[in-house]
Amino acid sequence: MLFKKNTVTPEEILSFFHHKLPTTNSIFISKQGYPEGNYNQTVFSEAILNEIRKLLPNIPPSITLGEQYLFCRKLPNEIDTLCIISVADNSKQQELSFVIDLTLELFFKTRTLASKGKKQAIQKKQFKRTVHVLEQKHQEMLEEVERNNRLIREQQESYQATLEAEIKSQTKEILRAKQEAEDANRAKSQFLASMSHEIRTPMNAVMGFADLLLSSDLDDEQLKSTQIIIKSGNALLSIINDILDFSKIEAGQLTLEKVAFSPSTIANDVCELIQPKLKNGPVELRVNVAENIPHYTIGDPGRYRQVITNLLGNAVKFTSKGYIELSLSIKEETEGTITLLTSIKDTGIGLKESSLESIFEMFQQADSSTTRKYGGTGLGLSICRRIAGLMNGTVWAESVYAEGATFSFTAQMTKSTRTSDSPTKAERQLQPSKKISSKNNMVKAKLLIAEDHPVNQKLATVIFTKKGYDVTIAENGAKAVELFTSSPDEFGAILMDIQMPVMDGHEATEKIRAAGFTGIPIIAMTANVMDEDKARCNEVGMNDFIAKPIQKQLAFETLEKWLINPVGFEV
Amino acid sequence: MATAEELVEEFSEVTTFPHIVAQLTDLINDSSSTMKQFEDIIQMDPILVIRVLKLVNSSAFSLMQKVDSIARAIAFLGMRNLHNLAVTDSLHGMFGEDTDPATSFSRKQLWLHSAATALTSKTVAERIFGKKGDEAYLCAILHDIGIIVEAQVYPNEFFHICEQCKEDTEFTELEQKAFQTNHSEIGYHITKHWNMPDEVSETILAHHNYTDEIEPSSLAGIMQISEYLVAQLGYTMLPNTNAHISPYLTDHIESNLDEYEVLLEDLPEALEAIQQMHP
Repeated sequence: MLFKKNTVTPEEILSFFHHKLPTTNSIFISKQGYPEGNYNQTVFSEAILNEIRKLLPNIPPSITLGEQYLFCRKLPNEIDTLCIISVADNSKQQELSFVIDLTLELFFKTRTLASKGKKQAIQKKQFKRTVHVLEQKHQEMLEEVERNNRLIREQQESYQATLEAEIKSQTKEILRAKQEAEDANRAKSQFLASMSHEIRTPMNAVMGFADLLLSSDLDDEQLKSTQIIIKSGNALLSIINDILDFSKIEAGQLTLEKVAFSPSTIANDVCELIQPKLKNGPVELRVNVAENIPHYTIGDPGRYRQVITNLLGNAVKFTSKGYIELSLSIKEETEGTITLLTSIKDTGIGLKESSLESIFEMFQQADSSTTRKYGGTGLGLSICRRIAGLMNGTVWAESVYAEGATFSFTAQMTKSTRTSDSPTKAERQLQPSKKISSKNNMVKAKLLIAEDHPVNQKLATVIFTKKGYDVTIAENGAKAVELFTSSPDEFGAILMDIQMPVMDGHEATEKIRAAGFTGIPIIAMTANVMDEDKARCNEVGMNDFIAKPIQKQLAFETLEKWLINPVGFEV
Repeated sequence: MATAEELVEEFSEVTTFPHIVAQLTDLINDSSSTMKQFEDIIQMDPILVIRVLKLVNSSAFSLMQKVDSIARAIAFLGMRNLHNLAVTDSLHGMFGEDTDPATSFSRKQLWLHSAATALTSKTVAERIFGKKGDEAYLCAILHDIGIIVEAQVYPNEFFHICEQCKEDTEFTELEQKAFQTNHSEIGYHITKHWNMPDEVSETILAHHNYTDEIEPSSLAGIMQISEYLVAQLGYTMLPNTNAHISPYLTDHIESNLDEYEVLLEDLPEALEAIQQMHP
């Protein structure tokens, strides 16, 4: 065992007492195990004296038992006894005993203090080492943190770089996708335009010849069949128009015009046009225009007319007795705008509650039996609502089933300062025919018709020849330019198809205008009926536009307008 | 009878070292690992997180601040220290409970012996030699794992040699006779198997080497001194046994007796804290 519990030695105590009590006669350590106490001569035995003399040979032999006292103190090791022999009388004995006890106490205190001090010094040394270790660790930790920070920084930088690259590639991808979407949209528009053209071209022939048939000698059966052909053809055309409109709205390509027009005039016009269709039964058509409706407002008359026509057409289709009432009133008015409420009330078959909203969805009708019974695409109301939306309004229906329905249409228009009755240019273009048309002012003229399609060549020839015009056919644009420029005075007007081989109608028109012939009316006669097609025609120098399939009456009116009153085209 | 490797193999079939602690050990061996990685791995085991935080906040560490996250624990104690905690925690589970109180071998006593030796090793390293004590701690907490392997794989033979072991017999010799190997060799192999640093395995192998080759300030020296010190305080591996120590190390202790005396006086309090940490 290396570690000892008690390290106090009797020698230390002895030397301490020698040092502290030098005057005391004799101090020694006895292993005899004397009991603690102060002893006077009475207990001194010869044996003790002998022991004393043996331990302390320098004790003078003169020591006698008379005035001696022996003080015995047990030491902590329980083996040794501290013995002090001193000369003392009874009175001093107690005093000396205290001094000895105190000295012993002092020894142990000093001793403990010394060992405590030593221990503290060692502890201090050891703690210093520990602190040193901690400092070392701290330093390492700092380095570790620094290293970590560097790693994190590097990670962040690489992450940043990855992120940037990612964003870059994504942006590229998005741009590509956007480009693709735009291309697809363009392709769709292109497809619709050409579909429309492709359908209209043969329809031109179907409708035109059916129309011609009507004016020939037909028996009842034939007449009926021909009328069915015309009716079906018109239905097909209206479907094509609806689909075109709808896809334009979907593509956001439908933009509204902003021209002054008279809503009440349009309401009356539409009623007038629809009147002949009221052949389902005894139905009265009423128009009710509120007094405060302004004469002119600014908006898109064509689209306004389209919505009313559609709603009124529906009313006519589903009403077989009673009345249909179109009323026009003001719903709301602000400083610069006016919101028109146009409602069409009928006493027709009405709608079930559940259908009131769904009929405005695409390709929805009240129920599938409606389609069988009344026909239609189911696009009309959906288009109406979207057009109304573009006009900051809406279309909705109210109905009592089997008793009738009311369709209401709100549209916000800009207020117009104009109050005169003279029609605007837009109005003239929109409703040119009725005002000018009259069989009497028909002008004899030779027409140059540029048309590549043999069937349509024949149709146009028949239509216009029958009306009394001379017709020369050019099978393409180049031919038309050649024919016209070789004898420009011969022709009163040119009817120009657009899509033709060799040279198209646009180029041919440009060539003719460029050659200085600004007076000759050039009228597009085409199945390209999209707005941009019309705009393009105008751009290249055409005066007007006849849509295919040719509606005979409208075509004559348009043509006559320009023959009677040719307006030079400014190049 | 099997070699040490075979014993380790057999032992490993039933007792696996926790995956997370193994991962931490790998990080300790890898100089490019970061505190964040260390933290992330500990975070994967919520129970370990709770136990580590409980240990860190116990009186044994007497930190001035309350540690409420692994990140702060790493900041206060460092990765090595925290790794030691995780190893200690998983070993504690591995030592297990005493099932047969009739034998003189007590798993609990062995655990206390290991934990006390570990703490003392760290203290000796830091207070006597002024070196970082984390590695000394790791060696000491693992140094008798070989005994657990023996007790697990050959319980009967093992209990038999425990009975034979008296104050003056050398346990290693009895082991050698019964198993042709000893717990130092087994400890060497199993710590290798667990991917512990090489010095750890080598120190365990040398912890009963009583030649003069063992320097007092080496890891093995510190371990032997610590085993001797904890034996003075009653933390022996088996009851009524004594700790052996080489004469060279005895000389070292004697010539630094004052220092060791002071250390020995401060130890009981710290060891008390250990008992509280792992009741």
